[in-house]
Amino acid sequence: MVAQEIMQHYSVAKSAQILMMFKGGLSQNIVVDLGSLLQNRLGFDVKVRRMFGIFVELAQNVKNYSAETELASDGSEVGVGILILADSGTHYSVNSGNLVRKSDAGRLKTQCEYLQTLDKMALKAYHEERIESDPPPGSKGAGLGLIEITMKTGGNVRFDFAPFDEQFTFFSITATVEK
Amino acid sequence: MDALIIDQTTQTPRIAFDAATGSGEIVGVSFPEHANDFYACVYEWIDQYFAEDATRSLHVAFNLNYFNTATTKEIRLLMKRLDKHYTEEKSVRVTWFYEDGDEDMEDIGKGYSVSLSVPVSVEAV
Repeated sequence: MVAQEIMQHYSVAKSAQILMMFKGGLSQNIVVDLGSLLQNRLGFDVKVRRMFGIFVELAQNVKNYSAETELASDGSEVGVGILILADSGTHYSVNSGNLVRKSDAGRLKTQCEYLQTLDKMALKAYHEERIESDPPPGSKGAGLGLIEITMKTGGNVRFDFAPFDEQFTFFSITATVEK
Repeated sequence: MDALIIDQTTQTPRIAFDAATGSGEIVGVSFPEHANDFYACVYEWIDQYFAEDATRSLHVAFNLNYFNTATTKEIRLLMKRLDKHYTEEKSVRVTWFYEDGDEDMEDIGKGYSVSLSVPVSVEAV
């Protein structure tokens, strides 16, 4: 019975070509450790670095903005979510998922949809504008994460939302990077 | 004036600024939790360096192969600080190193070389 269940996890991971998966609280130390694990597995050439950049951005995004939080071992409050790195042969697929408050989901969705309407030049201009201005209220970084993810993937990013419960919506980001 | 030396870690670059040689370097990767806190000491060092003696010259070398978005903003602020000193008649120059073939890093360096007055030399290694 136990072997059956674990085999199911194994089979899912195998068929989805998952290189790495993590579900839990993402403290800065965990982000750094996952980054080291990724480098140990894949090296750190230019293409891996591009994927690594997106991976770190997604991880820090979950850490800073997930509506589900827990206390890390150092006592800091960190966001909980899931990170999945898969290898599709020609591409890496970097995925994150976390809860957002239903009341915040609309604004986030509008922002994601806006980013997807921008071409390369317009993204660059928008990035420039945002980097020069103060971070938006509630931002814990520079407020540039989603913009840079969209830029770094050359637009090959999908933002998606799924109903979770009364209070929360599940938010996912799927970024695809050439190997 | 004391040199500013911070050893490289898995998440932060090596920082080495030395008044004796008039040079500084930032080398490695950068994705600290609080990028603004991490880089604050660099701005302070540079301002003090020129406050002590405005005739000094400074060469700053960036040799980063990965940094996160919060660091992007800090590098921007640092470049602007260097640019400000340059436009105030201080002798400042910057070299932006990138690994040959890393177009993202090359583009960032070239962006600075066209947008700033301070000379930014973009070099492949």
